[in-house]
Amino acid sequence: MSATARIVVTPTLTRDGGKTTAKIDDVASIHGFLRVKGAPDFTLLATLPAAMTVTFVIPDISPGDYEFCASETDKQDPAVTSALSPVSAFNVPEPVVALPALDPPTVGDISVA
Amino acid sequence: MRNSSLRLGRVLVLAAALLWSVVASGGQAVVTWTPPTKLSDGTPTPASGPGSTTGYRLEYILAPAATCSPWPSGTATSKPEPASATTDTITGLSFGTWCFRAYTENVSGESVATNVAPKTFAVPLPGPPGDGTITVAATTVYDIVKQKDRLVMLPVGTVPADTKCDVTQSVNGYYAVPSDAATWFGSVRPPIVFAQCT
Repeated sequence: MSATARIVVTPTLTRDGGKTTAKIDDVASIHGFLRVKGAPDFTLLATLPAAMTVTFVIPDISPGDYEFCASETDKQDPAVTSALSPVSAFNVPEPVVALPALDPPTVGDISVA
Repeated sequence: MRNSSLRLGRVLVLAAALLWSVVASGGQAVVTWTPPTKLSDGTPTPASGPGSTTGYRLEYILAPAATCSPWPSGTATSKPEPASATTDTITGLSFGTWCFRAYTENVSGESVATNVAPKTFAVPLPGPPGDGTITVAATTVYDIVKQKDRLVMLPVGTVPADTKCDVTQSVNGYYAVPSDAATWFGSVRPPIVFAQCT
């Protein structure tokens, strides 16, 4: 059983540690990175076009603890990518499926000699 | 003298009337034949007494040129058969094309040969390396995370280097490995994991 995770990312519209401001038009794309909590490295999950809010959707994610971070690429210089964001941890719980009660069995013809 | 010639003419068996076949499997050939009904002069083959069939002789040889026409030169193997036999299984035949023919025998001698039946034992294809088993090339195992346009292989743990991979299940060039062999990085423990294998 698996679940769907949605991770919302908001670009930080500043440069140089917040010393100068930037616009959303300055951001080309947002990179989302994922790792299993305890794994040594992040894996690139997806790269999405920049917007004021970007949602990374993982439709079939296994239960457990994960960590996510993101970075953004500068439209003015696509070779420049920001540092990784602080890590956000989240948990995908084990799904609980409540089964409905069983219907009774069907009994066929009965004959008595 | 006349009687002797006549008898010889009558007892030579019509080999062309001898129907036979060869069925082979895995280095052995099952040779079957039908006893002739006539002698070489056209008279019926007697069931007993002078002129009756005393036996058969099978002859077979490996054809170096993979053809039985003409009959290959060299020393063929002969195998006598009793008069009651109508089939025999020749075993231990090596790969290649074998040529088979037979003769009928009676007190006067041997018939001409039957037609020739070839049988080829093709060399089987080689088995896959490692008898079809592959093991992990890199010990990291992955969960598959679906995205809109691709699959992402997310590391979730490791397995020992000699772990066997399931050749029947592969995704993105990775093969399924037993999840119970995994040492997990964390609490994400999917029921099926994948690894790079060779």
